[in-house]
Amino acid sequence: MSEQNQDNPGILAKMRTYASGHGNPNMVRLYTIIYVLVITAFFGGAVSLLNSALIKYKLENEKVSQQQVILKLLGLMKEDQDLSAKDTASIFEDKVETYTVEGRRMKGTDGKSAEYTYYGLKGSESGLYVIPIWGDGFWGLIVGRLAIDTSKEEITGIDFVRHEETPGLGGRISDEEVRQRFVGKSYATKDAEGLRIDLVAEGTAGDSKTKVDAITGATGTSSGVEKLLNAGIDLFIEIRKGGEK
Amino acid sequence: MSPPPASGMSVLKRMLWEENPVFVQILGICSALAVTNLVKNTMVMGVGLIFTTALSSFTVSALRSYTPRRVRMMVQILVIAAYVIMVKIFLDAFMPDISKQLGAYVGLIITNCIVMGRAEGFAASNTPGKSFIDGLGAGIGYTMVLLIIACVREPLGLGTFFGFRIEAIEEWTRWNVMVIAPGGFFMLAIFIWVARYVNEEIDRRARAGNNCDHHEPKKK
Repeated sequence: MSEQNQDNPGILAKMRTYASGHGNPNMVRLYTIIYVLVITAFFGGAVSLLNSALIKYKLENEKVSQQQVILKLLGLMKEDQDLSAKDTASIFEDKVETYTVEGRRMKGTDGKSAEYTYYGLKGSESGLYVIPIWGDGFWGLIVGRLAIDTSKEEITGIDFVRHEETPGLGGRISDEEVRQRFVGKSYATKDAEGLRIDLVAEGTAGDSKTKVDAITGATGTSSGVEKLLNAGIDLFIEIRKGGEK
Repeated sequence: MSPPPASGMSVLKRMLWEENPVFVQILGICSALAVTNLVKNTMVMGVGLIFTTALSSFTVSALRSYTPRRVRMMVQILVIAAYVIMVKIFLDAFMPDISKQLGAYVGLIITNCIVMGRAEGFAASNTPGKSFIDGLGAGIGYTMVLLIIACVREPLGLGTFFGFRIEAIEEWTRWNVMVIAPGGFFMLAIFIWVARYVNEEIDRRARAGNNCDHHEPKKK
């Protein structure tokens, strides 16, 4: 900067004049536009550069947290357990069987279409699976993982890995307390409306095996979750019937 | 606001106590209430804010003679946003758990009045070096207050400190109110009360001392 100052004392002085609003009005306007463009490009570029340098760590962290969601749903990891990235990967490798279904698509956590994938326990006949569920919520895409016991036809756990619902209202679907409402519900039969799991007004589900308390004040989110939950289970049952074991 | 002080040390001291952004200027209260139930989160938030205020004040000051007056606030926001996004990217990459817990609050540093206040109120009319120290002081002043509040809220609310269980209070009955937002309001109000009382006491003593020495008539 100082070197430039010695070479062209006129340019910097001129820039300061234009910045203070003096001089030819058209030049002042032009200077303002160029200044904003240059400064935006500079700071935007700096941020992009840092982002592209560190994005691989972020993606790695996301992968680990996805794996941990599945481990928790399969009962291989406790809810409040702290597991390193390395341990997560090795437990996942040793104990989790990954099934991909050719020709079937699902929405991934990044919102993009991906090959339908579900998870089970390696070398076990327990009938416990973690299946993908996805669909529209109130504000945007909701992607979740549902743990089901196919021998009892019951839900054993649920987690939402991506959603844009209102914090404190629809966003509560990620809360432990709300997620627990789904546990132990049976998806064996369909009701008159074709629903296996019914989300009903908060506080009215009681001990019902197929009804789940929705979230008061988040009707949009609740009906979205009801829809995507039933659709997800239907699709999984259809895929399993198709002969893929 | 008092006139800008001359030396770097007094710039720093002024932001730490006399014009502390939180308990004197009552700025940045939103995040002060939100993140202070865990000491660790408070620490990370504070470091993020110190980084942002110091560097954004420095940058705004360095550019001040060349920034057209009409667009100066847009440029300030741009500079602040760039630094905050850098903090966010860094946290996402290396501290994913804390980043998740802090959620929107890191991004909201952009709109934290302290940062913008120092950029417009000080950096826009002072040298880069002084502005850096001023921003640093504002950030440290903010962090200091938040840490004191967090050091009360976390042990009382959760029976832990920095995430570790405190052995001495193993049988502690958790004060749930300390974990939720009202606990933040109570603690912040109590802190402001005490800090202002101390401040007035210092002033009163200084005035009393002056009166004795110089026999000045008391101004009404």
